[in-house]
Amino acid sequence: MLSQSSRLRAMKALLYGYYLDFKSFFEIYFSILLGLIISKFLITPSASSSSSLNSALINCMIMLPVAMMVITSNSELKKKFSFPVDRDLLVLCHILLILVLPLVMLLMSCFFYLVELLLAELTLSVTTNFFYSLAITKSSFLIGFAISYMAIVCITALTWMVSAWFYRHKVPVGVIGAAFILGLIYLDDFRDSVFGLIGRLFHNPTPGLLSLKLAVITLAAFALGYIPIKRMEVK
Amino acid sequence: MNKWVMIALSIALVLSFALVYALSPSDEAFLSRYASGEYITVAAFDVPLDINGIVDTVNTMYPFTMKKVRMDIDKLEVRVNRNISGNLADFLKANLDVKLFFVPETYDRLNTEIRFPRSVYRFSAETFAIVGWFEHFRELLGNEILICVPMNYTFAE
Repeated sequence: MLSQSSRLRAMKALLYGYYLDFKSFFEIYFSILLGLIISKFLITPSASSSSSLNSALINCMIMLPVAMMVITSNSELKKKFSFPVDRDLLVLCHILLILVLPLVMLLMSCFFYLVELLLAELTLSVTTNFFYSLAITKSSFLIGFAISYMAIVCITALTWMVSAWFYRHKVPVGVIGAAFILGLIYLDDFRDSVFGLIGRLFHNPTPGLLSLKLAVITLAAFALGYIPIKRMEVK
Repeated sequence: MNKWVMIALSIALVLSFALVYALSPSDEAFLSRYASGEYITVAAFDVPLDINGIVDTVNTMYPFTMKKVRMDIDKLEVRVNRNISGNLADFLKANLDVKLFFVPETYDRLNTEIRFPRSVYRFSAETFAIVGWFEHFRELLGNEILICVPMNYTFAE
């Protein structure tokens, strides 16, 4: 039985390991946002462009699920799973990552939003056919930030859960996943009922109710994702 | 990475969040910027007032956002919000190309064709699109251009 302090030390070491792993992840994310800004204002300005806050949201929705698939892959799990790290610590670190990564990414988008405002002002002073408008208020920013964070965490947790099950039971999860995707593509009734269910879940929401629903789905995903990692076999 | 660099980066990120919040207007201030008194007429056209007219088509005002409204006026007007950064009103007065096409004889239906002869670029410093799910925040998006018609006209689309 490990003592409390050695568990804490192991967790810190594990988190530090993930921090080193995710440095390149953040470099990619930083480069994408920077590249979008450069293309937006300097290379080929499009007639209309949206802000970093929205670009970041889409990037998070794509990059974080991919990151979750990677950290639950065979090689990554085995690499991290070495004494004194146990299964509970591993899951706890994954949950911390799922909670912290979107927060950092969204905060980075705020920084890029300010850079955009600065560049917009600069562009305004050198061209006559460029215009910009603010479509943001204090409340819409705060609510948008909070709901975006919850939505990203929820999607990331769901991907982590599916990836964890896939890691443990590749064939059944692969077959069910493929059948689900094919059903969505080819069976109209199935597609309508799935989208109907999602629509009912998110129909006419208020921010509080939507946050509650997303939090419940996230917690369920954490609990379900814990099961296969808890049963993980190590040679 | 150095611990102090990490701390500095963390503070910078939190400050960015605080700055975006501080720079954003309140809901009331935002709505007052898009009140009807904040729009300037950049083009106006005489239209028959003794008929119940129908405006069949108004082409898109891309890249700007547009709203079609009926109001107590006696002309068809294109109005632009005065709070858009970059003096959009003067630019449109000089460059906007608006044409009206009436159905001959009856003059009760008309089409509008609006073009920007010069290339124009727009950046919208907008909030997270996810707030569009909530009705209250959909009202807080603002419209840069209004297409206004007299009360006896309706929009077909």
